[in-house]
Amino acid sequence: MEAQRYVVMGAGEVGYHLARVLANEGNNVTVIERDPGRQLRVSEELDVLLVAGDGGHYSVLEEAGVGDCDLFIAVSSNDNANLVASLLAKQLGARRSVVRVSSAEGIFEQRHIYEEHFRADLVLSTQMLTTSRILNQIRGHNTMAVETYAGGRVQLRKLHLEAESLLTRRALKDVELPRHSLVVALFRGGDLIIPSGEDRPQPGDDALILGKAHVISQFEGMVSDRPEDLGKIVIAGGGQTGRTVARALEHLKAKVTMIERDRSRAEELAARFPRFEVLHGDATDLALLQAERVGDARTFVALLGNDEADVLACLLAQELGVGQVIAMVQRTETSALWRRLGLKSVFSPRSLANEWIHQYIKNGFSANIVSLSHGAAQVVERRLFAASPVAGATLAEISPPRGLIVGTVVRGTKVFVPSGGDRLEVGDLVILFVKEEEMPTVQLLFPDPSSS
Amino acid sequence: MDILEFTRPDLVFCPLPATDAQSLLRAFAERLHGAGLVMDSEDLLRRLVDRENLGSTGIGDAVAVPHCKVDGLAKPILSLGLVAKPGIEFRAVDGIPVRLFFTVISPDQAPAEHLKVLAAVSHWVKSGPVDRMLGCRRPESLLAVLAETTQAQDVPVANR
Repeated sequence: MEAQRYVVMGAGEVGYHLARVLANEGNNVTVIERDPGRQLRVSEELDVLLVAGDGGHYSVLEEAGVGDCDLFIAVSSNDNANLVASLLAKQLGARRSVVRVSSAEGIFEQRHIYEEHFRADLVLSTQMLTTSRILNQIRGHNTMAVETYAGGRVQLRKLHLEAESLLTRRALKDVELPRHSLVVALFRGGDLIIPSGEDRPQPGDDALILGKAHVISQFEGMVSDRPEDLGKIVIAGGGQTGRTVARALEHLKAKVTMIERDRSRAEELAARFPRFEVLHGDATDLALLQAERVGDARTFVALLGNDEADVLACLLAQELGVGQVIAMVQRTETSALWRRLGLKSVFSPRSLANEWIHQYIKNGFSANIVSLSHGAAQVVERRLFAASPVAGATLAEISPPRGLIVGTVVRGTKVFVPSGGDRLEVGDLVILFVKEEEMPTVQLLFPDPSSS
Repeated sequence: MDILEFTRPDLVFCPLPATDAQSLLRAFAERLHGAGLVMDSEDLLRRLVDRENLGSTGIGDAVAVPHCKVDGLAKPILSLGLVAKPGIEFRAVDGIPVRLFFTVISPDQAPAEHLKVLAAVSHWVKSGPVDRMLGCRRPESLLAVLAETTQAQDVPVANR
């Protein structure tokens, strides 16, 4: 990729490292930072242009030259300031913008609405990235295996079809699939198939299933004799991230224990998650961990909101015999150190955001594109406009060719997996699963100015 | 679907005189109007331009598929045009200037037909002898290449 102009708002953990990476790649990078301490660090250590000031101010954005930048990256610690800055930057002429928000609830769950109103090309939440990362780790999948779309309401999951099952007995069009679910891809040997109704999954295939979270679990029960048992999972810390992880585990086969220090919060958790065991206590207290037989757990996740406590709790759990311990730390620079202490799964939400934005740039500014099987197929999001050929047509009328699946429709706050009779409307956001050779068809039928 | 059935000899233009995207689309609009297919060439031009503004229909390998729906047509129409070298800057996906244009216009009331023709054209381009078409000098030869190579390429229905 030739050199691009980037403006990064906020030189915190995400912004600083991103600016460094982008500058090292030979790009033209401007950093906006209002904190004098951080300003000093940027001007001394990075080969970037520094603009001192508040990115929420029009004049500051103007001074930073956002008007002709290829990408505006709003990653300050203030969600609202990031959103407003994105809007102003677009007004000034920035070609694209990425906005980081911290929370998974609220803004991120409705991120498509925010993307529209604040003209952001991509809103990403560090918390959402953290949660998916933890879940993937718990389930022993690689990052590909569980992807979430539309703010987590739609999931993509890989299922191994072991022996004969409901799914392998007949062609897909004749299988009664759970409502709001689809088989979007089959991996067979080294091949990737984006199936049509005529295709018939075979034992040994890996199937990629798309659907709402609870439906997918139902699906799992249908296709395999034994739904994946995640064993005992201990979540230390019932804060926002802990709750989000717990919510995702509700529909899965797992025995979950949560440990929370704050009594009233522990009571809230017990009421919210009746199926889970909730302990009131300190997760760094060895006696408590022993008494509650935490050592039997298959996975231990530390989300205490304090790096030292997280690491200590994980070390204790590991000592007690837990096979997999996962720690989330805030400070990126120390995670290498923790790894040396023997904690393999230590990561920071900020470095995840960092990786994500960098990947977005590497993908040619494509939002939410996941390459399936080394680029043989893609997951693509497209918005529908009045001049879109498919606007106003039902899925049956579109009759997508083999190799192209319309997997999900996001319409305002509604999210659904469409079937033949569903009509696509102007303003819809659709998530497509596309085999490489059908990309021209997507280009013709689903044009989207933000993706070209 | 055989895309040949949507075109006819008087809708194949070679060489088509145009120097940029605007004059190219205008040439198609005027000729389709001249052939008595659309009432209003300005309206057609506007619709084709609107669609291009949403994202280029240049699908690579020097081919583009401009398209839109219009009022008052009986069935989808495919019009072919070949532009002389070096071609037209059309913001194609691979950045290559476009020489071969498959313009599709369809009745407003027939979204399904429109989409099927577009999918069929995109499939033809993928597997058809685009290079041979680029070498044509007369409309008859363009049409002949198309006729030789279009078979019933049925587009199977996806997963439902």
